[in-house]
Parts: sequence; C-alpha cells; structure tokens
Amino acid sequence: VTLGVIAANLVGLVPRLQQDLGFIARHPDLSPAEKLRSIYGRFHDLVELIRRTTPETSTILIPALAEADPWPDAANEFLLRSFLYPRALVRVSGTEWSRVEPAGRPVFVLVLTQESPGRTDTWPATRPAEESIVFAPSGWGYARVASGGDRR
Amino acid sequence: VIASLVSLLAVLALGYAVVAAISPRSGLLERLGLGGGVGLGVFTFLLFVATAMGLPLVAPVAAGVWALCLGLAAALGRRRGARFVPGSAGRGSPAPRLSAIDRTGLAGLLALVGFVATASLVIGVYWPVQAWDALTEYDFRGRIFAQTGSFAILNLDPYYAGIPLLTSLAHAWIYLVGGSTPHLIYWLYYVGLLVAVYVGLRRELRPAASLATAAALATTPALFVHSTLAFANLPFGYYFSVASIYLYLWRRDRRSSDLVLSGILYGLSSWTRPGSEPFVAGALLVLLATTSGGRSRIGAPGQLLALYLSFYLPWKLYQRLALTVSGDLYEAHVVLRLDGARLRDVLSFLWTFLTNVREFGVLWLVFLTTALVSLPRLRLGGANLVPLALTGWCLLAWIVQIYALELKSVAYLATASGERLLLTFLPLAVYACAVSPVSPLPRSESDSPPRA
Repeated sequence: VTLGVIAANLVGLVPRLQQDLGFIARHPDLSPAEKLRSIYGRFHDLVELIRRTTPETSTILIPALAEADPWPDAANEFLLRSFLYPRALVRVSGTEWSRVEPAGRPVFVLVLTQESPGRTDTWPATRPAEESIVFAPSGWGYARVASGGDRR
Repeated sequence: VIASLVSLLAVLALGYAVVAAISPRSGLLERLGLGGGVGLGVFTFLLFVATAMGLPLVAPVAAGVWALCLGLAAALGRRRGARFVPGSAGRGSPAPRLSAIDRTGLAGLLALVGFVATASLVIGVYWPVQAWDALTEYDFRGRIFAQTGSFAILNLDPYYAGIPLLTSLAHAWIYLVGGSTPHLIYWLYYVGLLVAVYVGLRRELRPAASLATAAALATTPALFVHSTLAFANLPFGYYFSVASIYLYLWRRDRRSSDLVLSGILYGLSSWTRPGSEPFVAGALLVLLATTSGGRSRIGAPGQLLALYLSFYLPWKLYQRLALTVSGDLYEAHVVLRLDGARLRDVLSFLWTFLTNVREFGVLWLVFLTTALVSLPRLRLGGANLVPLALTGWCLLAWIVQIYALELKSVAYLATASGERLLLTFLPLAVYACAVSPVSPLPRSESDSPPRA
C-alpha cells in the first residue's frame, strides 16, 4: 500500500523535479537578479531601474486602487515596497498625479503600459512629457514630478 | 550559504539542547528531528520578547539571547541527567534485527528520501526568495527587522502586523549573521518533519514501515514544493502535526515529556501563523474525550493549554497594546451565517483538493478510506483514536474556517490558500493511517499495546 502511495506521489513530483532541476542545469550561473527577472519579467526591470537611479528618500506615485487592475505586479504596493523600501509609495489617480507637491522629497510617477487582447492600457492617463520619462529596457518607466506640477 | 548554514546549525544546537532538557531519555534522531523546529521557534520567540522589551534587534543581542538560552537548556539538561550524545535508537529501545530484504528495502527508501531531500536543498539554495507572500510579507519583514534593528515596520500597514513573527525573525537572524539563503529554514522544517515522523512511528512500527511512511510524506508534491518556498504553511504544518503526534505518543505511552513537547509545539504553531485556535481546540477536545478519569483527565489538557497560551498570548497582547495599527486580526475575519450555496461551494472545493493527485498524491483518499474502515474498530478512550479523530476534526475546522472566510471575502477560495491550509495537517493524516487499527504496516517486535 505504502509503495503504491509513493508511486502516486511520484506522478506529481517527477515532472516538477524535471522542470526545476532542468532549469537549474540550463542556467547554473544566473545572478539572483537574473533569477528574479526570469519570474517577474518587466516588473523586475522597472524596480531595478528605480532602485539604481532614484534616491532612497524618494516618493513613488503608483496607480490608485481603482486603476490598478491591469498591473497586478507594478500597481501592488506590497510587492513594490519589497523591492523599493525605504522609498515611500503613494497611490494617486492617473489624472491627478501632477498636483502632488514634492515638499522637499524627490517625487516620481510610474509610467506603465499593458497590452491585452483588444486593448492597450496606459497609466497615468495624463502622460508625463515624453522627454522626462526614464524607460527600463522592457518599456515601463518613471518620470520625475516637477515642483509646482507637471511642466509639459 | 555558509553563513546561513552556520546560523541554522546554531539554532539546531539550541533546539537539540532544549529537547534534551525536556526529554533526557530522547534519542539522537528524535533530538535532531525536533531540534530545528523547537530551536527556531523558541529562539525567535525569545528574540521577540527581547526586542519588545526595548533591546535593539542586532547581531550581538541575538547572539547573546542564543547563548543565554543554550546555556540554560544545557544546564537544565545536565541537571536532569541528559547525555549530550545518546544512543541513536534512544529511549532504551533495542537495536532492530533486520533481514536482508529489510536491509535492501531500507536502503532503497533511504536513497529515495535522500534524493528528494537533496533536490529540495538544491532548489532552495538556487532560488532567492521569490514567492509572492514571502517577498511581500515574511521575508520583507525579516529583511527590514535586520536593517533597522526594530519592529517599526509593523506599524506601516495592518498587513505587516497581522501575522506572528516566527518565520520573519528566523529570516532576520540569517541576515544578521551575514547569510542570504533563508530558504534553508524551510528545508530544515521539511527534513525535521520526516525525521520526527520516522522517530514517532519507530516506537511501534518496524524500521522499513516507518521509513516507508516518511518516504510517502517526503515525496508528496505539495509538501516538497513548500520545502523550497518561504511560506508559513510548512512550519505551521510541522508544529501542528508533530505536536499532535506527541500528543498521541503521550496518550499511548504516558511519558510526561511527550506532553510537554506537544504543548510547546502547539504553542509554536500559534507563533507561526494566525488561525491555530480551532485546530488546537480540537486537540484539547480529543484529549478530554480519550483520557480516562483521575488527575490526568484535567491535568493534561490544563498543562497543554498553559503551554500553548504561553506562546500564543504574548504576540496577541503585543498586537493589541504595542502596535499603533490594528493589525490584520484573524478573528476580525470570522463571521458566521448560514449560506447553503456557499457551503456547497466550500465542500466542493474540499473534495477537489482532497482528490488533487498532482498535489497530494492519493494520501487524502487513503486517509478517508482508513478512517471509514477503522470506525467500527475504534474504542472511545483508545489511544489510536487520537490521530484519526484529530485529523477528522481538522477537516471539519477547515470547512468552518474556509466557509467563514468565504462569507467575508469571495476571492479567498480563488487563491490556493485553502489548499495550502490542507497541507498543514497532512503529516498528521499520514501518521494516523500508519498507526490506525487497520494499518497493514508491520508492527515492531518490541511494541507493546497502547495503554487504555
């Protein structure tokens, strides 16, 4: 009986082992960042860019909850915070972000696009001036919020 | 990796000493199986107490807490006559006589368990923390504890204040000593669980039967996956299941140290994740129902409850008194009203999960069959009733808990949370099958029938 139970377990376990150990065998030398990128893709590119190029005292403006749906990763404050802490995260509407006053801290707004069948979503709805956007390799990015509002 | 290993070996040594102090007659394997879980639990709990009392959460303080606790446990163990390295069979049980077939079978099973455990280790070490809940909560809190030396992050959002701190403080300990591989914690729980199940079964089953049961557990896909992730489900499952196994062993052999270990492990389950209450209430009820008259009828449940509350209450009090955010309190989610359609949904989900061969193999089906066939042979008050009845209670508690949470949040079942919760008492279900009155597994030659 017990050997039958073990055999049934192996039906589910062996494909997982093949997949996991196969990945490791094919990519033995990936850095931790590259491993995370293999899972989180363009989201990881974005947070790496923000981490590299913005001060830790920054405030990052992210989509309001009502506008977060197309971006389960990039609009999730808890996932963002796990990569960007101690930067502060503030949810804002995509049409209101330019009214946020920096008040002594550098403020940046995320710039996101998402293609899905039959639609293209972009955030924020009021897009920052194109030349002010810093893009990650995979197309998402951020723009600095100028004091006194967007200067577009 | 080396620093992570050293930090976990230190915790294992602490747990080893604590188990030896509580149970001086315990064997080497038993101390190793329990040492990781007990060490991580007791050490992180004391770190929490020290930090809550105002000490900074920094490496020297953590090392001081570790050394103090190790010294106390070693002194207590010496006073109680515990030998540092006992015989591997432990508890004075005779060395088993093995036939050639037994030896070959044992070698094959050992090779299988060794391979699966090594694969888990390789995968865990290869990947940085990457699972969603681990990134956003368990590991995040641990990283920030280690960076800031305080619990201030808990006040940033109720999300961070809702779950007890065991796994996050274990991560913090690894980071404080310069490690970077917290997945090793979960490997330690995985291997510890297998060893604890094996050692428990060895008290009444032959070595090959005990090892085959441990191998059935080791190869369970869901359990294996959790040994490579930084989620709280495997640690909770370790504490709850091993606590229940020791409750059964106490009921069977009446060794007081088993009851103490059971109470501590139940307490540590509450220090791992919220929602232990209904499961531990089941343990108390089963204990009351299966303990005959005399002092132990009240004394044993009282002792178990006191040990449980000694780990449960401090965090609850801290949440309410010291944190400025309310915390995502588990009990705030619980609402009950009758909704037949929702209840049918929950039962349907349960059946889907129990029959999910890709996650659980056929273990749940074996448990359900064993429970049904055992029913006529169970005796109210018999020790064998304990694991079966407790697993049955857990399934019932699962239904109530998921139903109550479903009423509050439609999305809950859409996630794998319900399925992950089932994982936490799977080891107990497997153990219950192995020691049930209808188990075909051969019993040890030295096994004596359980006391009434």
